[in-house]
Amino acid sequence: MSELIGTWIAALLTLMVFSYLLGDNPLYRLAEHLFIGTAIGYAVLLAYYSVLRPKLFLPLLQSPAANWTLAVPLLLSLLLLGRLNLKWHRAGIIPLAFLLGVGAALAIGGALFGSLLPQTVATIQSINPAEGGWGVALSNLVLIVGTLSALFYFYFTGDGGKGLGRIPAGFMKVWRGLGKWFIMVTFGAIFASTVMARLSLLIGRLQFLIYELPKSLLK
Amino acid sequence: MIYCPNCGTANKDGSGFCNQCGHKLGSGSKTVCPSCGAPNPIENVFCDSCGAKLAPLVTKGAEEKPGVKGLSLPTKPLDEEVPEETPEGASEDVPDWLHRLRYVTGADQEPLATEKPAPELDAPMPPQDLGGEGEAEIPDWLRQLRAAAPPTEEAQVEPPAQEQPEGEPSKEEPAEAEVPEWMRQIGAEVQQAVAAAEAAEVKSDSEPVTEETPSISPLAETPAEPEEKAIAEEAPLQEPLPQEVLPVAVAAVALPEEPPPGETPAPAEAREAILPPAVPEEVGPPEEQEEAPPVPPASEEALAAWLQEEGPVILEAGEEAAEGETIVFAPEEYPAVALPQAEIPAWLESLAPGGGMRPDALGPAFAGKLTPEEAGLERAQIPAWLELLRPGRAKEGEIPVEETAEESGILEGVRGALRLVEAIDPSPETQARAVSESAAVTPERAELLTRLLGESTSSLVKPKPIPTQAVRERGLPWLTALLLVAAVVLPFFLPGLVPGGNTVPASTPAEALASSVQSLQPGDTVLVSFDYDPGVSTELDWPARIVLDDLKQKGVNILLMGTTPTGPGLAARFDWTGAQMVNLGYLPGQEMGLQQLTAGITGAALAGFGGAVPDAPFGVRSLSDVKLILTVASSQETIRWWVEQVGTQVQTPIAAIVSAAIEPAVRPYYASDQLAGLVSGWVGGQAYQRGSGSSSTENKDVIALEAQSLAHLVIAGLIVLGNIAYWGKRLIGRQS
Repeated sequence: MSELIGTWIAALLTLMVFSYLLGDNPLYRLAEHLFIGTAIGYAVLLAYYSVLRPKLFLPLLQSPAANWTLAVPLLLSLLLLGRLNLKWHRAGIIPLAFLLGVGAALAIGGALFGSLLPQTVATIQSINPAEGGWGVALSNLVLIVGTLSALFYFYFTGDGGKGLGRIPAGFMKVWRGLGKWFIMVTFGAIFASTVMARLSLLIGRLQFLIYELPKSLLK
Repeated sequence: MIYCPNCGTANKDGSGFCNQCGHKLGSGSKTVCPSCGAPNPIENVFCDSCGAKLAPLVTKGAEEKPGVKGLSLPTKPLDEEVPEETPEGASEDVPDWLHRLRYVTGADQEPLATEKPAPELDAPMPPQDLGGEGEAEIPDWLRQLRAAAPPTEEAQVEPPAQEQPEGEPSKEEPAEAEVPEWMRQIGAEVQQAVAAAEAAEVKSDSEPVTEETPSISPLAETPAEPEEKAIAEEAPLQEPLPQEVLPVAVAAVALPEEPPPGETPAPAEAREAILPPAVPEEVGPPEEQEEAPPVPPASEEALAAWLQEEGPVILEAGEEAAEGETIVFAPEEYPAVALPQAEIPAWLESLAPGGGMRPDALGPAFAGKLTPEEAGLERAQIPAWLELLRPGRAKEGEIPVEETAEESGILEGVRGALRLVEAIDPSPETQARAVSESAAVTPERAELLTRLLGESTSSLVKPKPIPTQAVRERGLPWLTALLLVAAVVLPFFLPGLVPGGNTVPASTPAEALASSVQSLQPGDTVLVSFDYDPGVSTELDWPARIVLDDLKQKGVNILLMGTTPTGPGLAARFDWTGAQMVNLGYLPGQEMGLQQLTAGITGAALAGFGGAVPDAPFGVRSLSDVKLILTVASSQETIRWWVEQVGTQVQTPIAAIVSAAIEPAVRPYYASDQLAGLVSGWVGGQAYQRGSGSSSTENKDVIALEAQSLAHLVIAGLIVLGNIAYWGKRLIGRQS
């Protein structure tokens, strides 16, 4: 019975969301507010029951001497709440500085060793057909040209067509134009992938209305 | 009167909006010329087309004003209205002494009929009254000017005729400093001409001198050709002004040369002598006035005879005026005076209130018979400042407009960069040019209107209904949406509509993941992180289920977790029957949480989902103990966190099941071998199945793939059609 009610509620909410195709209306607003409200409520309860209660409050209450170090994140959390009050808002700077500092350190280190260097190394590919065949060589060539031209497009856009060292300005102009085309193709691919992903969501919802809902009624 | 340009209703001057239709009566309103009908700006006094006077010649009450429907409040100060131009000296502000003069001199043919009666007669108008009223009518600036001016010789030596009774205001010459230069020049020329004429008269005694003009005005003294002299004789005689009532300045100009002593000029001669100038510019200069000796007034004895005959008749109390006499003045304190009803001279008639200027009253030179040059009159030079005030007459370039140079800014030193004066106070040239430009446009518009009105309505072709912008803007999206929905729904009712729609090409990344899964052995542990939201579960649930089914079939241990709050809950929805699975729950902290996870599973902030987390689930204490890390993500940041924070710390291979929307951003990690395998969306899931050798277990998944394929075809077709329409339209536009 609960599954049937849940299916009906899901179907009703799906139709309410689809009603936005006719324009903004209270039904869509109701579904939107329900989604936001349930998401926030679920996150708050999850944070309490999955993090705060088992990892902070219970250890502090049960064995505070053994877990006294947990008082530091508790204090930082309380200071963070000071941001809500104008009088205490400067107290929230400390936990924010801690969060931003640690986050920046992790991001810089991770980006350098996890993305920048590996991706740079990945572009160093052989374009010798003898090693992997013509297809691999051509693919590697496109990879190299696309990466370098796109980088030059961004880096030398503001110089107004100046040359680079002994490289003439005309060549740089063509090189930057090639980079622009690579970027445009990339954006097109991202857009097409997004359309395909959203079509999957639409098909899934229609599939639910066409298959799941009648099936639940027949049960 | 302002005629509405919209409905033609006449509105009162100064009206801002039409009283009939409410149309704005702005600068576009015109005053229709009563002579030629040409529209003129309301500021014009004379018609730009024919030169006729635009202000009504007849004063109020002279005619009805039809067409005025109601009264509208003037929106412009009445002071700005163009004053009604009247003939010279015939303004409405004519002093009372001039009014009285009109009636007194109504005793026509009596040149010396003065307002001052003979001593034996009771004066009907005391000099005190006359002077007082006349003084009251003199503006303040004139009074100040008079007070400031030094007394001239003529003023100091009062002629006998100018003897004033007590209380009569002193008559002084205008200050010499106030006389403009052009008047001095004209006076000097006239004086030279008079001297030449006198010399000619002395030289040739045989040349007859008209006795009727023993002494003429300076204007008449100008040596003239016989023809001009004849014209002067034909000129209507102007009525003489009594010396007592004339201002000194006018009298000095108008009065003739000093007659022979003891000779009383005849009435006709006196009329000629005090002939007033026809045009103010022709008035002699002050020098001439100064040199003109005052006319000795006729003695009372000399005047008595004709004055008693022609003078006013004092009516006694109860006495009625005889026929032919007109009672002109009868205040209570003075007896009524009856004047003989005589013909009023033309120039005085023109001064009458409500009377218009008659052309013949101005002489032949101004009656259209002769030009001033032909009449021997010399045109006076009009000062530049006065020329600027001429309404709509000045031509561009006649009067140079001084352009000031910019004193600061980037335009410093540039002249004429901004003609501020033209913008604030447009000159007559600008106004005249604007009028001429508008006049040039008006005929074209009138012609167009006439042509449009002349066309019959039957000849008009009914325009084809053109789709409006709203239809185009709303219709095309709706049409696209309907096509997409049809493409999505049709495969559900018509399975197999798209041949081969459920088959996908081989995918190396998906096959790489399948290979990794196939390489697992029973008892191995796999960490699966659900890092997506319910919003994209429709897309990611299916490929995730396919991979998890393979893992279950392999008999591997599965550790579940999630970096998003909803991840563990989504993971719990799958069918885990018969599987070795532990849900570790939600891992907070995003990339910091993942960094902490690399230190050990037990030390991470994983509290479990639906139960406590054992210390070492399946003997795993760190990520190094698991054989494969599989993340199901809908955001590229999540994949980056895993790669950057975990992939750089542990040697465990990481694979990903991602949404198709983020595949282009994630695929480089696979190309750089940072991801062991990659499955994106439904197509990736189908490719994984193909690589793993398993088949889809449910029919709805096949239908979903067909729907997606058909939708892709529709989208591609719309893109092609749109490009054909765009380029075709552009090509047709070029050819046309």
